[in-house]
Amino acid sequence: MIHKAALASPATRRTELRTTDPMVKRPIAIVVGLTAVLVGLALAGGFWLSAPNPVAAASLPAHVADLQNGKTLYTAGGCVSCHRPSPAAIKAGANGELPSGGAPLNTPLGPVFPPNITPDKATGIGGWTQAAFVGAMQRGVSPNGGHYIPAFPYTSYARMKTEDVLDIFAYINSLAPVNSPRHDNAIVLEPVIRRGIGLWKLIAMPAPFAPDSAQSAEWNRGAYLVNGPGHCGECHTPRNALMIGQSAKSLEGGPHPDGKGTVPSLHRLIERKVFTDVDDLTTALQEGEGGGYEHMSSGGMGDAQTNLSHLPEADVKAIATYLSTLR
Amino acid sequence: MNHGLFRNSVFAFGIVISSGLALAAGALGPERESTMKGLNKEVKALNALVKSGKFNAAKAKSSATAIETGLNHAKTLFPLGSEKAAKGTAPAIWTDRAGFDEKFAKALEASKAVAAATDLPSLKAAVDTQGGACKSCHETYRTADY
Repeated sequence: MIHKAALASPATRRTELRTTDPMVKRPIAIVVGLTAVLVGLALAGGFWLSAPNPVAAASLPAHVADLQNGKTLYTAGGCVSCHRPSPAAIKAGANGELPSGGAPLNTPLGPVFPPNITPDKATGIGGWTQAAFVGAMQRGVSPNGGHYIPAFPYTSYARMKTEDVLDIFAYINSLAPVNSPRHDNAIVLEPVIRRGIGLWKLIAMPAPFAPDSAQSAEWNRGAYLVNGPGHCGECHTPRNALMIGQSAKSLEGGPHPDGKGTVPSLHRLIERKVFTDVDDLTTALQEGEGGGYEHMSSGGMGDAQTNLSHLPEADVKAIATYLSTLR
Repeated sequence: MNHGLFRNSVFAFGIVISSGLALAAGALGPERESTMKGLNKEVKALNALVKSGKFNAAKAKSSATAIETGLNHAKTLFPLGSEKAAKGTAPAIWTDRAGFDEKFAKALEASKAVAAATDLPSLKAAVDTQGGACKSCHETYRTADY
């Protein structure tokens, strides 16, 4: 049997189809329209939710800067480890002791260049306000209102006391300014990704450090240094599929964030006989492989250990005290 | 007949050589580990000596000599072809042999300075340099792998 439409001329067929069109097209139009509205709403919602949340100057605590404390926390944070010039630049004469912008960090998003954070007005952070610096450190927001890529470990610095962040700012401002222009990152669709980081932050940002009153002041100091400025968890805590540190596995070690090898667990260090006691662990952190302790230089730990060696002994002991209680 | 014997001999020789190499590569990992652990022990002893505040030339020299011997042995444990012998080795050991050898040379030089120390300050300086040499090499040529 031959279908009637097949016998009809093309023009007739079009007419026939057109006559049945509204019945089919209306639901499709409704679905398409609704989807467009929903996508639009989701985009608008995402745009609104991902908006950077800068720090208002009025919200900052009244504080007289303590340069010595700033230096200690700058050291504990290892700022210079990432922000110092690349080995090639140092060879060419750049000062390796100043954070004038460093070699690229390899992130899953692409290479990220740590910028110049010396107090140079033109190319560093010399023109920054306190609010801009606190916004950068604790909310990962740049002074021009964008999101920083979390290779900059603001996810740890968010746990710090704002007064401590202000002390670091004062210390950085006491360093010699270096004119060293910023290097553009090599990230695909960087503006879109940066905006998306705003959504990521909604679930990735931690609560401020809360002392444990059941523990000693020394333990709490250690916990603060490790989880706040020291940002040990950025490497020693495994991340989930969304690249967020898994709080349930805090400092338990995992794949190296560089993509090669593994980072050791910091749990049960004494029980596993990695170190004999808290004093031994303190010495290991201070002396590293130079003191005959193993596994203290590879995977970037060498730089971290150098920074630890410059901390006041009481702070290193506090870190060891805290670490030795991790189970 | 003779040809067969020759072929079989070559074959047997090949097996012996290749299994010998495999054995050597397999043994290199533990050998590297025990050698490096021995070096660690001596470096710890030197640091303890510095911390004790009392200069002891005999003890310093004994550790320094042990370190020199250990380093000279360690140098032989990373031959070409042993890339996969153990975890924790950076490919640069084999791709940048000149740089790797230079690190060993610096460490050996440092151990000689430790042996030559005449008082506590010179010993401390030499031990610090020695430690820096260990660290500097491991930062480049050792990978995070546990």
